[in-house]
Amino acid sequence: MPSADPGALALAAWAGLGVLLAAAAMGLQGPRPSDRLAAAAAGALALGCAVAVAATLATTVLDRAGPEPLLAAAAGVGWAGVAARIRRRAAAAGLLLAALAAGAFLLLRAVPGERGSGPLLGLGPLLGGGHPIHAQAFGLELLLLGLGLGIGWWALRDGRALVAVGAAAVVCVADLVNVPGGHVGAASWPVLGAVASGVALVGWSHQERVRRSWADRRVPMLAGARRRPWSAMAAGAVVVTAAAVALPPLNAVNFSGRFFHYGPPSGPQRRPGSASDVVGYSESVIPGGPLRSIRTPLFTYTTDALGQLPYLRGVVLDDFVQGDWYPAPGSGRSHPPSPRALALRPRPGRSGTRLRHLRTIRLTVRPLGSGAGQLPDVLYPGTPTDLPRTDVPLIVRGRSSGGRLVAVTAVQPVGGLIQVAAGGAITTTGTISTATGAQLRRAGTRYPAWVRADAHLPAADGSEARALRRIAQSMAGGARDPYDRAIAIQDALRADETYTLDPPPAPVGTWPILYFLTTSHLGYCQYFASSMGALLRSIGIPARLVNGFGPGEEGLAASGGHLITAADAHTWVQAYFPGYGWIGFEPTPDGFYLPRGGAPAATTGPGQLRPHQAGPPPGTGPRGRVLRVRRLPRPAVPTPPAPIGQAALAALAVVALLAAIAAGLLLRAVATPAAARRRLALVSRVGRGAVPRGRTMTELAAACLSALGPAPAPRVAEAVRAVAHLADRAAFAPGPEAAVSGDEWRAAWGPLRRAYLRLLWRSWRRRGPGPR
Amino acid sequence: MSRTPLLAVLLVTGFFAYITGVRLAFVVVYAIALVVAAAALWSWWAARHLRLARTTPAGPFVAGASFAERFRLENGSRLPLTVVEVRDRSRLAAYRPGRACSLGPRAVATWETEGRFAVRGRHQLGPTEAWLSDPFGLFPRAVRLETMTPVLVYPRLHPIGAAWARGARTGRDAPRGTRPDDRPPSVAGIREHDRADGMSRIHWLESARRGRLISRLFDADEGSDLLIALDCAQGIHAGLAPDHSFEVAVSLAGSVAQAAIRQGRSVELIANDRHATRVAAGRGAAHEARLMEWLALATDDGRSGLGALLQRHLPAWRGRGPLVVVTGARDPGWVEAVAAHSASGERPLAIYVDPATFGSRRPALTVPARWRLIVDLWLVHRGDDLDAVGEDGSRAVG
Repeated sequence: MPSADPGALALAAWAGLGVLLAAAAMGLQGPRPSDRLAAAAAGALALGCAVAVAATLATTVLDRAGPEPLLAAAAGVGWAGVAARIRRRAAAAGLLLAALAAGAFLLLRAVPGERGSGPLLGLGPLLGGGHPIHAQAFGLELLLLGLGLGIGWWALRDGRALVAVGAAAVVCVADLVNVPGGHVGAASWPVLGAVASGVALVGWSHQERVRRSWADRRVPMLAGARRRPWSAMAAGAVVVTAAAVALPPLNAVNFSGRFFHYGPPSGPQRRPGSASDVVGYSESVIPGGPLRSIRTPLFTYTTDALGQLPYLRGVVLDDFVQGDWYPAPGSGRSHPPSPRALALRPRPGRSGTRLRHLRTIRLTVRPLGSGAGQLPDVLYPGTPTDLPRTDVPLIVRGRSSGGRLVAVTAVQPVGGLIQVAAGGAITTTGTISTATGAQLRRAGTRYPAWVRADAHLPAADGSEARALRRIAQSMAGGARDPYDRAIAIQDALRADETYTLDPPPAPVGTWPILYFLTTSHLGYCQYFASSMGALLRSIGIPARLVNGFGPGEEGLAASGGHLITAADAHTWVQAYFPGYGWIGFEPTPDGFYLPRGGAPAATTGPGQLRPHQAGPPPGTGPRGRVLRVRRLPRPAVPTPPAPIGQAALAALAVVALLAAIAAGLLLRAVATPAAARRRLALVSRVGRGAVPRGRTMTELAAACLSALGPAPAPRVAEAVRAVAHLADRAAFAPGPEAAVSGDEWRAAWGPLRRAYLRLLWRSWRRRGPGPR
Repeated sequence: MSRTPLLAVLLVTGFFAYITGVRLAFVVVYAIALVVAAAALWSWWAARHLRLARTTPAGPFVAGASFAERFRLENGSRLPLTVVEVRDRSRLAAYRPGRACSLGPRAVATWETEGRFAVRGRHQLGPTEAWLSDPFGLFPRAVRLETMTPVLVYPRLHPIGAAWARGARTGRDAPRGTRPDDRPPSVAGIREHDRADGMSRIHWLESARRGRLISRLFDADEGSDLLIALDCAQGIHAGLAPDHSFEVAVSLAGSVAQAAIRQGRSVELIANDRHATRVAAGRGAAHEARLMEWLALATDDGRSGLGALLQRHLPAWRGRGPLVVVTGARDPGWVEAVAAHSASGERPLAIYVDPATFGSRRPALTVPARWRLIVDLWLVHRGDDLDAVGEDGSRAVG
């Protein structure tokens, strides 16, 4: 599932539940009318779940991710149902593999770009064949599909709801831990429903299986034994779920990054394939954990903005979802490769109104090595006005209104990455506003209709939105017009919060920007820009974020251009002013970027031109660090357990898992004469050395018992003989007498099950040096 | 088996929930852990308070006899038991006293079962096991009632009455007119004198005491001992118990022994089993019980033939009374041994249980003429209604 969406999360939970209920409906139906009635009820419930999934998808996912998740889940259930009806296991397994391959093909083609973060992001490239775009979503969906197939097949065939529920729990948890913190709460009810239903289903399945076993073995049932304890099952499920909810979590800090190397998936973001969390360019902004700044040279650029340096704009993020910023899906129009630059004519102003005080700037980007090839977006010095000359088709993404393109949000190559020949360059042009503060103060609030959607927070955000509004009003103080309020918020952020690349992680379930604004006051550009954008929207000012690069440093490249490194990746804020368009603001006080509206240059800031300067302004230290004392004491930040404890925990978990698997394999009931012979021979061999070939099972049992000493426990002796007797019967009895049921094997092996390891241990102790 | 994957799931989900700190993930993990813990406690507590009682029949039984048992299952805890199954480990063929039930808090279930001992031998009723599990099936447990009641089942006996005596005759009333035995007849009783009675039959002492003639009652056969020779050589008999020729042979030997003892005879039993068993002659109920116990446990594991057995025992038995041979052997050795050691005029009874009719690969017996000269032969085939022989034995004895 693309796990950033609450709808997708709900899908995961409900799909798991749907698999289980379908299993119940198909696997538990029996010859009696009551069984068929129960199956029909379960099937109806499963259908209801499917409808709920479809409704959830229709409202939250389909416009972004497409119907593939629903198709994947439905295909898993359907294929499992078909496979479960096939009697030959080889054919069923082949069908499952074919379904898995078909699902992989479907998902590889259809799953959109990655979102969210989590441990499976590290697994994504492996499952996704290294494709950087499909990684996480592909991995998750493939995992879910495979699990759905396998679980459904097993559950339907053998009625093992316990295993099905366990695997569904793994899927559910895998999806939960991969969802950004602010989104988890949206899935509470589906998850709780799945938990309660799963618990009840385990009980129900067990009761059904036992009664079916009684019927098969023709065990007479006393009065009342046929009655199913439905109410007890339901009550038990509710009690267990309620208790699980009431218990406090053992840990509230996400330190999974110590085990899985995934980067903060936003603004400056870990690039796919890199080994650690470094600053880099990305297409979304989700404030994450600590970053390292590595000045990997990417490209150089030149511009005709004499004496001043522009910000390099990449992609616009205007979709605010539960505390994080994403590019809005919008519309896209493809343009074929062109040997010349094409004019790009959006109509961003109100109908019939032209934007004023614009200046056109040309930007020429030259890649260094393969650095430019890693950029998925075409860079502009401001609002794009043309399409560059390229050898590949380009997609222009933007906002439409009335069938017309009104704003360009990104220009991307169809192939996913910009391809520039060695020594080549890409030249683009864009416009920046030269409007002064006074002009912007008079701009008013008559926003175009297509901008108004960006002037408020989603109603669903509820308490978080109210908290943001209170903070914004506090920061804005007595400012009345939008420009002054934006400047006030920008300055407040720059003054009150501290720039750092090592912010504490936000607790799970808390919006990172709220944690940043209210508690930690530590963050990097994502935190500042995300916060300011949300604050502006909370008080009715249209705002959006822009991902790109800062102006970089001049004079460092051999060609004389300005050098851009990975550490220059940056996120800033734009607010809309009628008649002037989107105006940039710079809330990040990293000591390098200058704010709009303040000294020393009243017109500096993103979207404007930044004066050349030899170094950071007075009062700041080396780049990225602000040398001043915090105004408020830093609150206590929950710290994750020590790494050595985590390693020990992981090692313990692995050892316990392996031990459980080994014990399960060693102690499971024998089911064939050969298995019984191996078990008894093992005890005998350990205690007595080599076991001669050709021994009968009776002799083997006697040898096994003699290996245990002169007087083995009567119960053990009886069990050993019973196993030998059954093995002989299964191997040599004529006709139907040779058919030994699984229950008979289990009944014979049962008394030995716990004693078997003790038998081996005692045999080994009695063995002494060398075979006897 | 089902707990292993669940524990693996618990470990995996718990690990990821712990390192990520996701609240809802913890809910899932806690739910699994709670289910496991609750199931373990439930199962342990319920098993601790489950009581199982079994009332089994006492005393010896005869194969084919029916018996009844009574079971009582009590749930002493306040937790309901949704599935409980009582399993019987008696290994008694075609007897399934186990029941499945659901027990509410502090509930009791009782039931009675009836069974039938199809074959002789030493059987045991029990042990009994009550299998229960928690509502989720994670921790099944068994409460075992170790009490085992041994039951000795005698071979099935047929009311053959005096049929055997008509076949096994001493020489005194032998129809062939051979020289009679000079042993004085036994006096079985007295009665009023009849004119047809000879002088030698008058009981003078009693006649003097009563003042009228009283005659003696003689019964030469009923006063003598009986020797039963059972052929227990291995490889002779065929079939599948209880429809096995050896079982029939044992049953007939027991029937003859019981009939003779109840007629007041002294009965001795010899068998060519592995231990070359000889149950010395005796009479009365105690001896009958001794014979029946041996017959209940007899096995056809002898390594020597019946002829050798008779060669050893008949010289000492000569003249003590009739002989009944129960065998299925076609080997004429035993017939020759009988011929060599029988007193003049004696015709032992040979009960021949033909293994061919019980599934043996050998062809059915064609009785040699010499056998008919030496013994009275009772041929028994599979399916013969031995209960219908009756007192006179006219239908089966030939």
